[in-house]
Amino acid sequence: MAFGLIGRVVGTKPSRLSTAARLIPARWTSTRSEAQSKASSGGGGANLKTFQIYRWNPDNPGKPELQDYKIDLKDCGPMVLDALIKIKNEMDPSLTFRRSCREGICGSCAMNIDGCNGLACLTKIESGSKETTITPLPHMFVIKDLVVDMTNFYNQYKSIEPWLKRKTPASVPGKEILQSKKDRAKLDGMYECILCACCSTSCPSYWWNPESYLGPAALLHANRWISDSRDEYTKERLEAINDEFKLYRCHTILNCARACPKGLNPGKQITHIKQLQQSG
Amino acid sequence: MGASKLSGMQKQVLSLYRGFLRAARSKPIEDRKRIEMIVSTEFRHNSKEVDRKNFQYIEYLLRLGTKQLDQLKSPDIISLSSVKVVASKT
Repeated sequence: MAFGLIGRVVGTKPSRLSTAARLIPARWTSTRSEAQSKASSGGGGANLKTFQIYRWNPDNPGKPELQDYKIDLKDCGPMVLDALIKIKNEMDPSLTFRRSCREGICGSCAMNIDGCNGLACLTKIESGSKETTITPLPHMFVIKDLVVDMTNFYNQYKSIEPWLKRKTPASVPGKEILQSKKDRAKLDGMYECILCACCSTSCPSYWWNPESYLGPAALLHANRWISDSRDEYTKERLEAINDEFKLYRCHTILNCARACPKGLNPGKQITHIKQLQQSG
Repeated sequence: MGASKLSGMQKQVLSLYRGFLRAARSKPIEDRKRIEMIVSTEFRHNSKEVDRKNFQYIEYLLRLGTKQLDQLKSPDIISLSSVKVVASKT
């Protein structure tokens, strides 16, 4: 009886994806055999899609290769991360990739999907029989399969000193430093950054100068602290990045705004910094 | 001598090796011997096993070694130890 109730509640959901709606009641059932029979009855012809995934193992080092995996899309969640987890669970446990929240907030699963940087947990699998190519973030050193070395990226973030710096103590000691709503609104579009590195690794300027150019993500955060009304070291922050390489390698290519999975525009923030440098 | 000019990558490997030996000098004498033993066996093993042309793997090992060297340089770290793991197909 309980299952019947649950089935009816689920059935009232808007049926955008008919195959998913047929699978939802299957997942609610606790017995695996019941679920399997319901899933397989959803169609005799499987909807196969090929994933070409970059593989490189440092334990057996050779040339990196694109390995093919076929997934039945009827049996898999809608996002690329669901496909990767399914491959890792059922086909090849040695496939290595970073993932954590599966909801687009941690930034771990950033990778290059069909040529565009994005989060695997937020990128839908493109329907159709075309092959999907999954490679690690471009121009980053690869540690294994889809895992890249992010230390340079994190060091650049650390170098802009992303914390509140004050010269005068707070007006009410031990209490918050107050900020008006208008001043807080200035931080919108910058505080949401999850440091996934999709923007920096999509910037050609960052590809050619990864050690000297800070990259869109670090500069977005630099602007976040420069624009913070509570921070009193604005002039010093602007001087620290007023460098031919750190800031002015940006040529407003704006690949960063295109790649950002959270919809932010680092290029706009960098232009803001450049304007402040001009006027200040 | 008569050795041909060393390539940039070979120079990097040698300078990493030198860095390890210098870091070992700052540690107590017993640990120093162990560090030197581990590092020299690792480098000699890799120099025989790894193909000279396999740039990606050599660069990967260089980066790994540089990170380990930075850790070793810290005064809190006193020694290195090495464990051999054999993967079994059970």
